[in-house]
Amino acid sequence: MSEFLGEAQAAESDTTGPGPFPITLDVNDVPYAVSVTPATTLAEALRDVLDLTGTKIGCDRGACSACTVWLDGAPVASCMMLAIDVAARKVTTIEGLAQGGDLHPVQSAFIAHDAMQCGFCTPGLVMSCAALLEKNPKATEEDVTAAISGHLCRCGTYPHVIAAALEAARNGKT
Amino acid sequence: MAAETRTQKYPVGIAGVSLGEIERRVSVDEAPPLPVNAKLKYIGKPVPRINARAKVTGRATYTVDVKLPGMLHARL
Repeated sequence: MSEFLGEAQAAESDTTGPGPFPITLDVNDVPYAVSVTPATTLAEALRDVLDLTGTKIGCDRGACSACTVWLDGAPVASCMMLAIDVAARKVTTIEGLAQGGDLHPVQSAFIAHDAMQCGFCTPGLVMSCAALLEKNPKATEEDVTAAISGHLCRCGTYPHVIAAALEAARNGKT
Repeated sequence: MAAETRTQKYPVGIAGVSLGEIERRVSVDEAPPLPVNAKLKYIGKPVPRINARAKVTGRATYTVDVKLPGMLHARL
């Protein structure tokens, strides 16, 4: 397990827990010194400790992707990742996607295409679509459907989500 | 005593499929039928979702996001 911990933390002790453990999380370019138990998931740390409740927990077992955040720019299910395993990697949440007052093109396209109903799955879907376009700005419909294949939306807004992501791809970055 | 009435034509059916007209006798104080949607400001027009921006930025608050002082959790 020590390979997942920061070096300084690993040096202190061979074992960790079950009590709280000090770590630093780099979230949206802000370092947060927090204390979490080893069993705390990244999703719980974001929501319950840092009050970044834009990241949603739907199933808490990696089946719905509502909790999707970026880890060094790649989308991950934050409910399936322990906070202490994040170590020094950069976490980006839905709160950190818009730059100042400017929405990410994917966020603007979601509004334009009304790609949401209740909106609970929306932060996760936005993070996955935005990650896809950051990696592949000319994503096709096939790329989008593959990128959102892990996301469950019980309102069934998938067609609007796909249309929004494709429009963001067509328009390119602002 | 019979109330005063007038004859009024109303559209009936589905635009583009089977739109017709029907004639009814209505009370004289009945409001005239609305013009077609194309001439209306809101009816038949898409309306932007009022909380869309909050939803795409994660600021929309759901019950599970609320923390109250002394809040207890129950589990069945």
